Amino acid sequence: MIQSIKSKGAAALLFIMTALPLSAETVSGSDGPVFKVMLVIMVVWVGIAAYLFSLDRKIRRVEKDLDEL
Amino acid sequence: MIFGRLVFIVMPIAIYLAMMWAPPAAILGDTSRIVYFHVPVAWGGVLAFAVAAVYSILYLKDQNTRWTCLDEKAANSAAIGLVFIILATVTGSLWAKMSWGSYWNWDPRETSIAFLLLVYIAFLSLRSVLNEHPRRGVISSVYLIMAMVTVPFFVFVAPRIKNSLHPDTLINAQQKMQMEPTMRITLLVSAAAFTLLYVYILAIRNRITMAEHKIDEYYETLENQK
Repeated sequence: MIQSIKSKGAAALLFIMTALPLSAETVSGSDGPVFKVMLVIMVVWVGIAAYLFSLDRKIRRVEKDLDEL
Repeated sequence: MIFGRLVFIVMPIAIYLAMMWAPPAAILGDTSRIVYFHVPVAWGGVLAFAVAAVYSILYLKDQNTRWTCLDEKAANSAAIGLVFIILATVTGSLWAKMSWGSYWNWDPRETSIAFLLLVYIAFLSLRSVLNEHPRRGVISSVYLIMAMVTVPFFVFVAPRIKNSLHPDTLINAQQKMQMEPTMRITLLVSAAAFTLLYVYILAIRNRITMAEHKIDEYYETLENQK
């Protein structure tokens, strides 16, 4: 169930990112400075998201253990 | 909780829209893209303070008879709100450097946000000092309700008393978002992403609080049995 939601979410994300045109005024393309800034922000976000996800999983494990007490 | 997990999908979309889809503003150019982070974190901060006040009102009415740890949850929300407002201040300061030439100008909006930060930093100090106090929950709840009363004044009223360099906020006299549609959509998606981030972090912190409470209760029962 969760795997299916995750794959659907990833597919939707890819679709949106490819379907939306880049704005004409942006210094666009993979060489543009704005693109590089976006990549840096994405890397930072992936780090934050991974930390939050691992925290979420750890708490779920603690909650399970507490329920069994 | 599941609602909060949507942040994993919405945040990358918001980042992409902010950096690649939305056009740069006419005069400010690409530096204007910081608005898609500055405004949503400020909104997230105000939302967090409002939620903290609601938890505090519920705590004062309920006094842990129906719900547990409401004062802890209020403090969690206030702490997250403080982080969001610090981020809004930092992003605002960076933007000020780019458009006004200086990081800090003691502009009415900058001054009022500095006061708001002090109000909530004082709350966290007060709460840590009252660690073992029997009326800690009541005192901190009353403080958070009083603090929330000051938020509309510091965010909406004080910056309008004197002329400010800060652009008119989204909640303005004309009651209209003065932005072109692509920028407006990007800002709304970004606001939704930061709202989800707030909801998700608050849910995690509240679950930790509840787990700690259960562990304390368990040890109390063990001691009573001895």
